[in-house]
Amino acid sequence: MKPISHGGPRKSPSDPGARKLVLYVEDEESNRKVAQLRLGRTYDLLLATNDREACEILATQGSALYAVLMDIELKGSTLSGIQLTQLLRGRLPPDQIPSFARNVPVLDSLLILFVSAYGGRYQEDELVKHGGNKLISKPVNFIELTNAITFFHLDRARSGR
Amino acid sequence: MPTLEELVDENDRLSLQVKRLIRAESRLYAFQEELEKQRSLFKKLSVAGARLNDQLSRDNVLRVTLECIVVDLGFERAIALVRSDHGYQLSCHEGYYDPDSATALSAQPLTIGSATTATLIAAKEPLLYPSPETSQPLLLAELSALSAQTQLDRFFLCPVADSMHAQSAESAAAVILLVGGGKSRARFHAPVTRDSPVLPLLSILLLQAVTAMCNANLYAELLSEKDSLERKVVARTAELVQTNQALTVALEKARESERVKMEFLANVSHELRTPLNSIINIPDGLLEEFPIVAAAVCPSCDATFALDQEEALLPITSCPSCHSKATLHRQDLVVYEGNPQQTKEYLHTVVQCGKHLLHVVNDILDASRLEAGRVELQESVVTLSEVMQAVQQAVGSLALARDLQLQLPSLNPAMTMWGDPLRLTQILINLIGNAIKFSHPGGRVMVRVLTTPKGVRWEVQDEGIGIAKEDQERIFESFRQVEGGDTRRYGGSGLGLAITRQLVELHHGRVWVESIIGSGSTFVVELPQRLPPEPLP
Repeated sequence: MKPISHGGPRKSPSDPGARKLVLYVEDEESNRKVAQLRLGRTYDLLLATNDREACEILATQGSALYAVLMDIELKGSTLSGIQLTQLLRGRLPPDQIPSFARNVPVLDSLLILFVSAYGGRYQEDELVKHGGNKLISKPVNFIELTNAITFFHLDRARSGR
Repeated sequence: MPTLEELVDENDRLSLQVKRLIRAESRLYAFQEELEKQRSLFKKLSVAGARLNDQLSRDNVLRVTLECIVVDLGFERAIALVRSDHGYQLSCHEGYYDPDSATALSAQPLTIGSATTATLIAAKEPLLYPSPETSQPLLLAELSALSAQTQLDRFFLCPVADSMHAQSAESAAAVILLVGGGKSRARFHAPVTRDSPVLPLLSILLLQAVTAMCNANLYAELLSEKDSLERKVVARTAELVQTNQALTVALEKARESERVKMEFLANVSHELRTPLNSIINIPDGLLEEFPIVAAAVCPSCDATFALDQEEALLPITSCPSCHSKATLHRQDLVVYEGNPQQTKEYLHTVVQCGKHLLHVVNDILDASRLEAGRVELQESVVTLSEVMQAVQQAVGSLALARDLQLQLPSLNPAMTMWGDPLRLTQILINLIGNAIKFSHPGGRVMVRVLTTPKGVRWEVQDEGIGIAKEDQERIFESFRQVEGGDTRRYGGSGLGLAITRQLVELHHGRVWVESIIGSGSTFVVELPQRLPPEPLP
């Protein structure tokens, strides 16, 4: 029996070897903080604030990614979340690819979830046509989000891909 | 043997008989000739009738009738007089069938007096002048004047109706033919007398003329009906086209306003959902830092102790802290396991997001109240230096956070104006907030306050992205924001400038922007110097 201490060290995530890398492309700082708080214990969260940072991470660690969370309208970016998705699927017309995005590999089977606060401006089926897997609307329901990631990988494991 | 005397008598008798026979024969020839003439006249008349039937206009009917009267019936002259719109005033219509003098005659209008008209209407048949019927003084005077004008010393006046349904006297005399003979003509002409042999033929011709006239009138009516129908069709078509165009414009406007509304809703959705994402999810996440643990609580010193899973709490265990023998009891306790530094930061974010949410909601309410004209200024004497202080407090940290140099003027405390201090502050905060939002980090935002002869002029200048010429008016409309060529999007409901303009206009002022793409914008507010209203006596 020992005295209770508040503010003690948080439990470190179990099994650091099995950590999953998730990239979140998001221009709004508060949204990045929220994601860090809510997903930081489940995933290794890589944060990009614009298209340039996203491309850097995708070029170096793209193939190791477990999932990408993609905001659609990005302040201060040439490429939108939709164009970044097209780039990852190899569908972005070459004349739209800026030099910093040249080294981004085409990743057909990478899970891409759009995260948007624009009610009604973007339809999920449209976004799926552009290469995304699903649309999650803000405020984010993180249970729905983590479930979507988990089920995607479960389905893939089951179908043997 | 007959005597000589008897023979002479016989001879006389025979020669008398021969003479009689010769006379009879010549009478027979004359009669035959007359018959032949009549036959040819009837033939001409039937030809004339056929020609008349072919005429589709009143003018042509009259022309053919006049021609027949002169050429076929042998009258010297024939003149048509047509009733005009001016009551019974009749004027020369067609001249008469005599090329030589027709021109001279048609140059001056002929008139038929009211006595003549009245008599004609009553008679309804050719009236002979001069005759006992025309001896009435007034009538005689009118007709002799007509006789002088037309150089006809004898004539028939023939009323010609131009409508089958004409029951009224007026329409019966719609056309009058003047048929007569002159003094100086050497040629043979049909006699203008009561017992003229061609008079019955003239009557027949006139009947045919009336029929043809009626037909021509019907045809004219038909034509005008057709014309008016065509005009109606054209007019209706034009109306329809116009209505159609108006509808198309209205539809386009409705679509545009629908599109702007949807844009606005999407923007508002973004502005509300972004802070809500933090407001909901941060506390939700932070709650995980407060797990419930099993604990032992000492009733005398309130000390708490963590219990391991399944750890038994014996009644004899004394409190490890105060060593009291009192019984420790088991209780589930909420403990904090987070990082205080991090938690504080998160809570700070929640507060910021809550404030931002309030700001957005206020903007939406302000805009709709201004739109509905439900905002009233709370006016007083405003000290501009105080306004500037309030502005500094509101946006100073914002500029600092974006690494911008905000240059606010230091104003003479004596500089005052009449207006709503809160709203005037709001105008400046909106404009400066915009300048900060659209500036590049490290840039400058300069505010100037100038007094002009008319009032006061504020300028808010930035070195940001600038606004294209075609957008410089639109940005002041509700729910609009500059749409960049990239995916760049700036926070805000898109209402700030609309609110600003309406607040400036409530102060009877003007606001506009001067800008060059890429090198920055200057928003200018001009407010007239106004005096406080006279206090009520």
